[in-house]
Amino acid sequence: MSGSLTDTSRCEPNLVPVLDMVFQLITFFMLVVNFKTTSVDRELMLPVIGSARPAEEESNSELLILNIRADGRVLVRGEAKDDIAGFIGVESRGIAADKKLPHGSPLPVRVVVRGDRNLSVKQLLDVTDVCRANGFDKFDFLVTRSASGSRAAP
Amino acid sequence: MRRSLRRKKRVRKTDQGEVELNMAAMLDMAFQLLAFFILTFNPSDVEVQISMLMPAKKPLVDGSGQQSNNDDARVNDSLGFPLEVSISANETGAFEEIRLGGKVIPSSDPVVMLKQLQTQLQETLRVPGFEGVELSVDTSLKYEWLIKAVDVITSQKLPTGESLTRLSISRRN
Repeated sequence: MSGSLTDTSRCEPNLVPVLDMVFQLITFFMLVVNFKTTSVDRELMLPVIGSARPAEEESNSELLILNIRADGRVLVRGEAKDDIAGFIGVESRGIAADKKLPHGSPLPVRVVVRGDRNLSVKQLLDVTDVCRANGFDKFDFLVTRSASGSRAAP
Repeated sequence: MRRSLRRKKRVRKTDQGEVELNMAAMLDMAFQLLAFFILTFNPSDVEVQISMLMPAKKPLVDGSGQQSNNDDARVNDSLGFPLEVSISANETGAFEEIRLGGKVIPSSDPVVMLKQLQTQLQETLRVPGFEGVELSVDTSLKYEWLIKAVDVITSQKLPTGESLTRLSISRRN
């Protein structure tokens, strides 16, 4: 009797395959996790261009990400910038000092514009003109390829 | 006696050979990590970029050797010999009229206008000499329509085989 009871209590499931599977799932989620979301405004509805192609140029240059909402407000790293001209000026001077560039030379930083599709051109140009006047000349305008998802346009 | 001795020997062998790890603790930790990654997983739409080189505006040096301070100072921004594209907007912020080098694209449908702009740009850019596009737009145009026009323009190839990336966007008077 006692022997049969001991046999029953020692019946353990093999946890090794379960652990293998869990570690594979963890690996997947670690690979797809994106910690850069603080610099991206999720409220924006980007323009939809199905034929847009990824850029052919190298993408290892430094980026300055500007989120421009439909009302013209500019958000950088989650913070609204009321004085965008002042902010861009400080950024450009900082980059120029960091890279030891002479005054007025083009800055080796790409400006990534994430603009709401309902933004007016005036509001966009107000921002890009300030950037260009401060030495930024490389621009990336972000769009989405499909209108699927919760943030899609009607 | 013999039976009991045999049992003792067996137990000893089993104790020495089978070193078992406690998998339950490791599994707990793994499930906690998994729960964290599942809860923080937030897939976003695939975003692609339209890259452009928009050189800074530099006012031309006037006859006195000093830089002109006029607001309407011409743009000297290394666009080479630019092709002029002008876009006016209607009350909804879509295209009303597109002019390519002064020539009006004959359509009232914005989508048809874009297709015709693409066709006419391909024909125009076969002629060597153009290096960039000077795009002047109504400020009431919506960004969505502007970026569609920009996509059409930057998808063009120059006669040298390079992609057309030099673009100047200015306000239309």
